[in-house]
Amino acid sequence: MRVEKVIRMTQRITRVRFFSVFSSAAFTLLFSLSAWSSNLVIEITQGVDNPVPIAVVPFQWSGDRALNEDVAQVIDADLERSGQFKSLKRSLMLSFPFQKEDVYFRDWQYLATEYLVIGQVVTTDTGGFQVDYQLFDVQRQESIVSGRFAGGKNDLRALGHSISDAVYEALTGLKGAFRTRIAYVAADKKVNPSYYKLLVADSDGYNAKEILKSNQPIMSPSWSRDATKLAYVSFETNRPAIYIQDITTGQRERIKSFKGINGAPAWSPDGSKLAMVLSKDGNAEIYTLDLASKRLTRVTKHYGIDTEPSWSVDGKNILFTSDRGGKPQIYQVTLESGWVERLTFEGDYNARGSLTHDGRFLVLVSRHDEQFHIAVQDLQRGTMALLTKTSLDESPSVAPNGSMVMYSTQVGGRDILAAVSIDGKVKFNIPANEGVVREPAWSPYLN
Amino acid sequence: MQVVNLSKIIASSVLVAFLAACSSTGETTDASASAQAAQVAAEAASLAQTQADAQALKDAQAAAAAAAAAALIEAQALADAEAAQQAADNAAAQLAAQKQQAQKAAQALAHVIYFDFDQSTIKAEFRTALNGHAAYLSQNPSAKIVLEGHADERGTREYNIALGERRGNAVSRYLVVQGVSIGAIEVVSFGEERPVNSGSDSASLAENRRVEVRYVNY
Repeated sequence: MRVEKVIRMTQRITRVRFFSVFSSAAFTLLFSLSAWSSNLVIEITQGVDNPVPIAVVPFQWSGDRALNEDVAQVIDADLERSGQFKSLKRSLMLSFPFQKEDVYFRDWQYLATEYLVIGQVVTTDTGGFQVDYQLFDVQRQESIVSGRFAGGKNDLRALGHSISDAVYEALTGLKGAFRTRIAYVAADKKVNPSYYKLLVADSDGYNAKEILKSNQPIMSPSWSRDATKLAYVSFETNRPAIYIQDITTGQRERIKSFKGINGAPAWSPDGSKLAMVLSKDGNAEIYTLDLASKRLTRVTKHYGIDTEPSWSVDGKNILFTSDRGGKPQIYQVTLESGWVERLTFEGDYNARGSLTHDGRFLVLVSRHDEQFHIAVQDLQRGTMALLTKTSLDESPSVAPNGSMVMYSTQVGGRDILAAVSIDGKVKFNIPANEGVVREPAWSPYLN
Repeated sequence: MQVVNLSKIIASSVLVAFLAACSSTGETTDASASAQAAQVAAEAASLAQTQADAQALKDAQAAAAAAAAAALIEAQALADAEAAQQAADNAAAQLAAQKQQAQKAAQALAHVIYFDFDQSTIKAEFRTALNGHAAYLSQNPSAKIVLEGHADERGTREYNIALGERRGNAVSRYLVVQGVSIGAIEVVSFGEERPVNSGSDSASLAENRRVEVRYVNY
């Protein structure tokens, strides 16, 4: 009740150019409440040296009840998490404009802000929300981009992420990936977990939703290209089997399982096939399953371990991990010809490779000095760089725009999720409130 | 002939004794003669009785002997059956005991085989246990096992699934070479998903790199 009242007061003073620090206290309270209700809490641990200063003004809202989400705060957090922006604290803002006529560029120049985002939220006829936004170049005193997003009554955060995507793209030239999701696995503790869960959350960790719970291991979630389904491995029958589950309806299907390994499902770029690992013919080999015809095609044939398939951008090649050379390294097979070539040569343990959206970078797990790090190999230059310094980093998953890599690591003996930018400059942790979390899978763009 | 005579004697002596008794009740004049007659009759009766008893005894003895012989035969047969049953029971119990003992012996064998990092070679120290399992499995065709392969937390998860399976397969091959039917063995790899020790020191990791021999049927 009190929060509501304070927010209304805050909204009233949006038109006042000078205001007390009182409102900032109110906002802090509101945000801590919303952060408390989330499942994952992001801690930015490292950013770029000179992040671009930006101000996201609280969005105008004239409804009679307080909104349960603060859209401007969602945008602020998204941009900060990219590591490339530093957002201006609200307590320092001299005014809260929500339309162009109210913007006094000199004030923002005075605050050394380079860019400014303003906007407002209104309800729609169908009971949902519509959000208008505008991005300004403070120096040039001109609008860069403006637009409008609409959604249902539970979509305010999603609308905020859409604005973040638009702002990010306008300022960096790279399509934003804030309005995406992550799938991940959680367990209650490390030894004999009493449960394993498959969850899906927004890319910032909010809105976590349980997809599956089991008392046996769940592994290797992989998104369908339209981001509506997940393929994963579940041991619920005491043996591994691959399932495909619609994340909205919960409806699921078990892929015909074979004796031995049924693992590492990976959706092809066109969505028609699922690459997977089966050991029905003796040891771990890569296969592709045509989802329509259910036809299974064997891709690799070697007595060594072949696993962790991942598709090239054009769907013509499959990257995989193999120890056919004695130690695990990343190879690539051309599906049409069966031609296999080795991609990694540096170090004696390189595994779980996947490509960025442009096919230029190979993201992988690499062991150096007995420690497992996330690494990136520039396929044009052939150089490998370590992105992380922690010791048990695994399951790297690249954002659909190639900007960030989410992975799992251990902090204080607990598995947590973390992310690092593809250049290694930006890092943030996403610790879970309970248990251990691992195997993040970053979704494709949502439709 | 004798029997007729005997009955005649008995009849006459009883009659004499009766007459004598009658006269004695009414008359006291010839008391001694009556007593004498009774004595004679009694003696005669006694003799006759003894003779008759001897015959009956003979007959009874014969019958008893026959019955005893029959009973003996019957008893012998019964005893034989019981003994056979007993023997069979004993043998079964012994077999069960032996099986139980073998089962216990199999249970007492090491059920966890440990491996080096990224290795699936069976170390010499685990051969005794595996030989024991192999012996039990070859002697008990109904027995079935699952070999659960595991890896430590280092390395990637799906690679560790393959590694766990490779370890399970190494144990399976060893058992098959020792004479175990391949049909009695199933290999399931859990990779690094089900550690037994949550520590990250080398001793903890070593405990997690294992194959567990799990009997699904003894």
